[in-house]
Formats: sequence, structure tokens, C-alpha cells
Amino acid sequence: MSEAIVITSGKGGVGKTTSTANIGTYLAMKGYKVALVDTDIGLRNLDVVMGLENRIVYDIVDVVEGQCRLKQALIKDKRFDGLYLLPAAQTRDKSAVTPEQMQKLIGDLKEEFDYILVDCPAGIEQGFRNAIAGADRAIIITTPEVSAVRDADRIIGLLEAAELHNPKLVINRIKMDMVKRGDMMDIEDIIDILAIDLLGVIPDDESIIISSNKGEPIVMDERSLAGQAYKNLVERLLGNNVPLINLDMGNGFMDRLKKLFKLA
Amino acid sequence: MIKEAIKIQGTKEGLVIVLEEDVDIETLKEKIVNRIEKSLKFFEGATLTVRVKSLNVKEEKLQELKDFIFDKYGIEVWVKNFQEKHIKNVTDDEIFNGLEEGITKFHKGTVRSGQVVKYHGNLVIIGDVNPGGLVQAAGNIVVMGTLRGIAHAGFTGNKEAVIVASSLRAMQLRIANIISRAPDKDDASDYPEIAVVKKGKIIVKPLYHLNDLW
Repeated sequence: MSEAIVITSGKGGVGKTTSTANIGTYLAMKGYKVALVDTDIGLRNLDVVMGLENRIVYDIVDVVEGQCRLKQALIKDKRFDGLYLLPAAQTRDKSAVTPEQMQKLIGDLKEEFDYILVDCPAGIEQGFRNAIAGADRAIIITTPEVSAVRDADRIIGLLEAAELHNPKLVINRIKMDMVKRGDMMDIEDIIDILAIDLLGVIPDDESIIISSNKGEPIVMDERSLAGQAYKNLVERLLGNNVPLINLDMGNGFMDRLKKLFKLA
Repeated sequence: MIKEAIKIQGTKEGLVIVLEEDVDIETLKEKIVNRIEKSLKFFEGATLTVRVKSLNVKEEKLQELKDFIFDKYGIEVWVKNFQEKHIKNVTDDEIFNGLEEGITKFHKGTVRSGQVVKYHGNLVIIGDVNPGGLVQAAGNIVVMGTLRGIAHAGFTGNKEAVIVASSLRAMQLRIANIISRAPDKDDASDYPEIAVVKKGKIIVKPLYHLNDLW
């Protein structure tokens, strides 16, 4: 049975697009048929993070306006079979698509794909309403900052109002050394406020920036801790029980392993 | 239906009367006077340009007419030859044939992400085209800067159209209905390049190998 999952946050820059790219890529690596849908019309990024920017001919607006068929607009990933991207339009704005059109579009995609991941724009306006229309589940991305958590809380409320229950939480860009020093919100603190299930915790990792710039999702990098965290997150999304990896910088097993590889 | 012989357009030149048929001096005078009489207030103090398709009158006759109108209405009249391009624009389904010599737009400034510069003629960009920016022309495209976005030349169907850039690092090049995308490996060159259609494909060559192209 296919499922449409919206990835949202409220606040901008917390890692929605990066998470969409990585979750989608790993699902495809596991053999699922996955469609990534960028709904950030006018400020598209997912194509860049996926390294597929130069392949765009048609986009989501062309599809809903009937300028092309859905299959023409879907860009096949250059690395993995079964992974496709439906890019946003860059020369239009959020009002070019309505929630009703999105619903139909997601419905059409469901006939072809196992998972449809919808990358939501920042904000709570039409772009957000478009992105959540047609979604079966929601993943909320936040960072350990008060402002990001505040926005995530607002989004959870809006999702409930839109009858999208049981969203899952991803805490992105956590720095364990700062948490230890008491300078950063702890995982516990965040869960305490938001009161939703935790799907995963992604450590702050410079290699994510490098991989985004190169257009190669971090899950493809065997050595990356963040990549491993995304893989575990996907396993949990699929219903498998995977413990949180030890993010303790300094003497954790993963950390030592990472250091070892970096030396190699 | 009788075509209106006299049209008034507001343009950069001020008020312009376009006469789409051949006229003699008497008809011309009659038409101008009629038009002015009809809406005298509107024309007061204005400069009036009359564009005619062809006019077979002597210069002094024309001067007489101008003087007459100036004295009577205080309006200065210019009579100019009407050229097709003044009112005619190529439409989306018409192939543009002015590649060698035709109307051209000069766009000054950077074309940024999400911006579109579209022109039904040749297009010169004095500036860069950034990733996510789109330049479209019915004719040729020349970018006097770095082309990093998408350029679509000959978009109304002319495959002879070319794309030239001082630095060609385009994400995609399109000529007529042919599309090519940048190679995934970045091997950008620092010299000017030209993109043309050869055997149904877009090829990119350095500008100093022009003899191979034509």
C-alpha cells in the first residue's frame, strides 16, 4: 500500500529538504519506488540537493495546468532505479497550485509509487496547505532551538486541525557536546514540549553541507554518522525497532569508528 | 465590415495615427481634421505623428497641411513612413526569421533565479544569467556575461538560432524543440562559446572555431 508523507517544520532552514532527499534516497536504496515532490514553488531546492537540477524541463505547475503529462515531469534519479523527483516551478509562486490539485496529483502518484515524500516550504500559508493536502502522514523537522521548537509546535496544531494525526518528530542538527554543557536543548526537553513520537535524531555534521552542495544525499556516504542516523530513521519509519545511535562525541563507538575511517 | 482607416495609438512618440491604406493629400487632410474635430480637447497641445503606408505627395503640399493644422488647432504634425515592425510582433506560433537581421532586445542586468526574460526577436543579455534564471528568444541569444541558467533560443521553432555566451555554464540549452543539459561533471571553460544545432543535436564549440560551423 502506498503512502504520502509530508515533511514540514514551520521554520525555514532546519533541514526539510535535506531530510526529504535522504529519507527518499534511502527508501529507494532499500528497493521501494519513491517519488519526491518539491512544493516550494518559487524557491525550489530539492532538485539541487538531489543533483538533478539540470534535468528539469517540466515541473509541478506544468502538470497541474495540464501542459504536460505527469510522467514527463517526473525526473528519474541518476543513481537509483525507482527514485523520481517532481520539481517545483521556479518562475511562479505558491498560488499557482491549489490544495485540491495537490490532492489529485498525490492520488495519481500513489498509483505508481510506494512512497511519496512531499517537501513542504517554510511558513503556514498556501504553500503549507498545498503540501499537506493529500498527505497520509507527517514528519516534523526541528532543531534544538527554542524558535524552531516553537514553530514545530504551531505546525503540530495546524496538522491536527487538518486531520493529520500522529506526526513524527525528527530532531536535526544536534550537537551533543553543547547539550552536555547545557548550552543546547536536550532531546528530552524537546519531546517534553512537543509531546509527539520521536522518529530520529540527526547529529550536526559538516559533511551534510558538502553532500548537499555536491547533490549527493548523505545516506550514500557509508562513513557519515548523519547518514547512518538517516538510515535508522527510515528503518523506524518502516516500523522496525532500531535504537538511537550514540551521538556522544568523544568516546562513543560510532565516533571512534568514524575517526578510524577518517584516518584510513 | 469596413476596416477603420484611422487608428490612434498612444506610444513613446506621443499620439500616433496609423493609416493602413494608401492615401492622397486630400484624404489625409480630411482624416486628420476629422479626427481632431472629434476630440479636440484631447489633442490640445499635443504632438501628433501620422504614420502612413505610402504617400504620394510633394513636400510643399505636406508642409501646407502641417501649417494648416498648426494654425487651426495648435497641434504639430509629423508624417512618417510606417514600418511593419512598429505595430507587428511575432506571435508564439510564428517562426522568427530575423536571425541575420531583425528586432533585438538588449536586457541590462543580471537575470536571477526565477526571473524570465522572453522576447519575440533576438535577445542580448548585458549581464549574467544565474541558475534558475530563464532567457527565451524567438531568435538568437547572446549573453555578455556568464550563462548559468537556462537559455532557449528560437523558441518559436527556428533551429538555426544560436546561443552565444562569454562564459557558457548553462544548466540547460534549448534551441527550438531540442534540449540538452549540462554534463554532470563540471568542466566549464573560460572562453566564449557558441551553441548550435547540428544533425538534430545541440553542440557547443569555442567561438574561435567558427569556420567549422558555417
